[in-house]
Amino acid sequence: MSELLTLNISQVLEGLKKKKFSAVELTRSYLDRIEETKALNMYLEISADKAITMAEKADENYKNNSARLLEGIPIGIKDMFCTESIKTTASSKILENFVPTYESTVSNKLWEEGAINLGKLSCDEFAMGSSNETAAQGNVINPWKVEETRSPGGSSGGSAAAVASKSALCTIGTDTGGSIRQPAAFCGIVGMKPTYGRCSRWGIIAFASSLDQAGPLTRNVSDSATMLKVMAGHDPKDSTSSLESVPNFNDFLDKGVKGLKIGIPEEYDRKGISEEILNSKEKVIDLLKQNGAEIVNVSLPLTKYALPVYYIVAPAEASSNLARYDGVRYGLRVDGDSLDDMYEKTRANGFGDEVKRRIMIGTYVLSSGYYDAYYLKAQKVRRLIKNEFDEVFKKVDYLLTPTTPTTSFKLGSTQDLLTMYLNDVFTVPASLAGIPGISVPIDLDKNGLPIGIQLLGKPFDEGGVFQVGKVIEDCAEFNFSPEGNFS
Amino acid sequence: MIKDLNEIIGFIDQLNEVNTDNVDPLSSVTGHDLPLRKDKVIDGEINDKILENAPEKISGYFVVPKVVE
Amino acid sequence: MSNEKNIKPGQIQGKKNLWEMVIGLEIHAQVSSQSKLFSGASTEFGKQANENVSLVDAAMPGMLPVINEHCIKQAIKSGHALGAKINKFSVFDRKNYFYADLPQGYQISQYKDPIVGEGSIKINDYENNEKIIGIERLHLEQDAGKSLHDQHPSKSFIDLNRTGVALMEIVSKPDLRTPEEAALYVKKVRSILRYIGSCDGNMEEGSLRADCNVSVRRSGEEFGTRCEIKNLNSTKFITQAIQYEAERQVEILEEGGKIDQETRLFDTSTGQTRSMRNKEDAHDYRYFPDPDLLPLKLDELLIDKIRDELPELPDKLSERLVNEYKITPYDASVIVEEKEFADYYEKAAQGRDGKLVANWMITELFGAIKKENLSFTENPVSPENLNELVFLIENNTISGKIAKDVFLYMVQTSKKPKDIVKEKGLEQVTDDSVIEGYIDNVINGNKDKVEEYLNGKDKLFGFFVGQVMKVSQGKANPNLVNQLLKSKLK
Repeated sequence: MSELLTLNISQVLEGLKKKKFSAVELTRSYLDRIEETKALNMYLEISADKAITMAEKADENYKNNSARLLEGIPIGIKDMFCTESIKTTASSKILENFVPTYESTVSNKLWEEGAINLGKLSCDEFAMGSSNETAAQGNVINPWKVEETRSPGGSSGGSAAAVASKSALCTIGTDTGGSIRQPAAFCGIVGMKPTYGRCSRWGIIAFASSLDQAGPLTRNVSDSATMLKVMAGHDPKDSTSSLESVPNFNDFLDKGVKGLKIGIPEEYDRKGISEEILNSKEKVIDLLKQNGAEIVNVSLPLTKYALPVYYIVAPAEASSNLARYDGVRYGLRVDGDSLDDMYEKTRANGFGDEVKRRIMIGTYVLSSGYYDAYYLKAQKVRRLIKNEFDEVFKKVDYLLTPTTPTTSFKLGSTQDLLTMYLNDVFTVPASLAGIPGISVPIDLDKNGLPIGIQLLGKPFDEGGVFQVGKVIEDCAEFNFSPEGNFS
Repeated sequence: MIKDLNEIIGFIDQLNEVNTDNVDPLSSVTGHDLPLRKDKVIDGEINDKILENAPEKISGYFVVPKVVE
Repeated sequence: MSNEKNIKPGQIQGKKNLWEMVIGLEIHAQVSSQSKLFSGASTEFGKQANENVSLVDAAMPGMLPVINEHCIKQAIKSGHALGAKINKFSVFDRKNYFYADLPQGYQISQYKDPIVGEGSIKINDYENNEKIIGIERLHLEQDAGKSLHDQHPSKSFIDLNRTGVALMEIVSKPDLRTPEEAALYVKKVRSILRYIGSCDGNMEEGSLRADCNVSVRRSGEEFGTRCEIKNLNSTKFITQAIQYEAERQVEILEEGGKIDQETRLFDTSTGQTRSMRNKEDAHDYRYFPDPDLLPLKLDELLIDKIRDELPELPDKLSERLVNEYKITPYDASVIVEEKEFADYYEKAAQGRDGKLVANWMITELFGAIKKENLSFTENPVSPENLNELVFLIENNTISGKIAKDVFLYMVQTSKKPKDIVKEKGLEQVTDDSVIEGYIDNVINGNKDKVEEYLNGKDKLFGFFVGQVMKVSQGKANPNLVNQLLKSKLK
């Protein structure tokens, strides 16, 4: 594995500027690495030729002193982002041959700043899942303890695994209920979900419109701040996009945590959570105290209702968002005797079981007679959950919680649906409230698997979240990498 | 599948424990107003792009099995 | 159909019972705008298939709606014009169902919180009494695309040009009682919308269409089960469809059957309604607020400003014309049918006898336009010219009869009447001595008839008048002819 692959974003930008290596060299190293790690099944499409062309342009820009913010940075893109002329499938059979004629706003911002497109990364089908086991193209394998074939988490499993295995310098994913943060924790990397509305959703295949957010998966907090600065910003093509100005997030990174109030919600200590994870959280609390933070015990009593709310709201929105996949204008079509027959056959054939389950739940909770008891009720509880966060943020500036109840589990080991859904128990509440959250790797468990800690902040305070995240990262000194032969 | 669905329904029934009297449902987390667009033609005339991924098309139309109303 | 003996309009005499109709209309009016409700593609009619389609309209993965400000204003304006309450808070909901011309698999519409609430308009019922028809609500929604089922034996062709065009759905209360009232209601709503410019009301092109809800009941009973007849695009079809449907329902009920609530289509060739194959009525649309949009909150100032900027509406205009120009309510109602008619009339009637101008416009002008197959905007007679023509009649330069000839020339050449009269020498003759000359001429040439007249055959007076007019080539002033003839024929 080339030395170049160990460099983070700021190191690469500096190296390229100082002409220590070229963008083409760097991109080739990544393309070689992608080949080496293909057994992990992370990439669905590798845009090798395009990547080299983009890298050549990057080298030119460095020569002319016109390098942009991400010039020459090789990035992998979760297959939920529509990429122009590059097949985009949402890891689903129903889009197996779909080639968008347009580029998503967020990925386009990366290319406009000179980033290199390495290709499309596998995820759970239509971003529905917590293990990357529902992708039509097969499971993604966590590079950690690779011989044990563990899950990288989901739905952005491919994106997380790629960063962890150094098969991309960084990647972008989407987070609806934890789909960036949870796989980041499972793969020992940094995953950031910004405030809802921070990044545009235009061109991102919609799962749950009121929850979906794009975010970066990176090796460290600084890279995450650099990426988010480019990804974020108002988009007039997205009515839910915020007009909030985007600060330079990197400016927050050296401010420390002195005097900051960090809340520890008692409800995030539930049974079923691993002892080691709880211990590592305590370690982080101590470290933060030592650095001058004020630790406050808080309570968020509605926390346990977040999951049921999520499993009503998200499937409801998804059932409607996925209605467009009907075989008429794009994607898979299975012929039928009549229009209805064609719809039924196409969707039965094209969607996997988890997607079907969620569409059915979604249809059920929206149906007349059940709408009030389920969907309306859930949106009311959601408001209460949001209010609870608003209240607690009057007392503290941030909240510290574990990211996941367990570390990475073995593929195929989760037989029970609800157990699978419980993977998101700590990440879902922040999604419902729309607040920003980051997962930072802090330790390994006794099995050598990564543990992540989650930091949540007030709406649009990603700067503060990065600020505290940086301190946690510095203190934790998580310098581990997955070992092993990935081929 | 039925078993799974029943399990999920059972799980989400928990919400009945929460008192939501006089609570307005959450209509958006963003807090901003519905953005308005000026009435100008800024889109369309991309027939080729629109039809590019169509499984079946004839003379610029999408084609589906015949519908009898 | 067994029964045909209607007692009053809207009533149907069954074998055993007398039934009355209850009708409610849902009008779908396309908003006049450049671009669509949630996409920036054009709304222009008559383009090549799938030309006015954006990625949003085609429901490509990842596409999102952004609302057109102009369409909101048009809805508010229409609400005011329909005397309705404007709701400051309204929500856009998804109406979920599958159809080939509905790319998203849902229509963005408004369900529980529409932009406009209750209102009303006036029509004249069959006894020419003013009747108030209640309006339940007006909301904004996306139009669907078009399916062509007759281009291929086994396939349907889909054109998405119309997908996403803004529609105002105007729902009436079930206050209509006869097919004719329904037609009048549609005409009135159409007229109002055209006046304010929020919809061009072109029914042939589909910018205005109506769904009719029809039920029947015996007098004094509760409303019966209703059926919905979809997509009627002319007032003729509306009245035909309603009549057929009401009779169909009566027949079923008289036999002891019951009416299934269903959606039906009107077959214009057979004049019958039939049930739609796909059971759209069993449909649960699973309405929920569209999470890609936010609720619409309207400013009181904006609502007031739009109300203040409303043009004069047909009813008020009609009243004013009757008062100012002394025309009959009927004439006023014809003139205010279109704002351009009314504008034309007022110009043409400036300083003139309002009634006379109204007659000329309604009988002669409209007649000529129809004959020449022109639209009103193509009409070759300017209001100034019509004004002048009536002036010439008023000051006796020409007679009413000659004026008709002048008018024909005006239609053909668009020339000013003064010029035509001069060119063709059509001035009226009002000189007593000249007319006396004609009379003498006629008397001398018809001595026997004169004698008959003097002996009591009074009817012959008309003959003499006619002869004098003939001799004068129609130019003699009829009143003077009468006067002078009378005195000469003593």
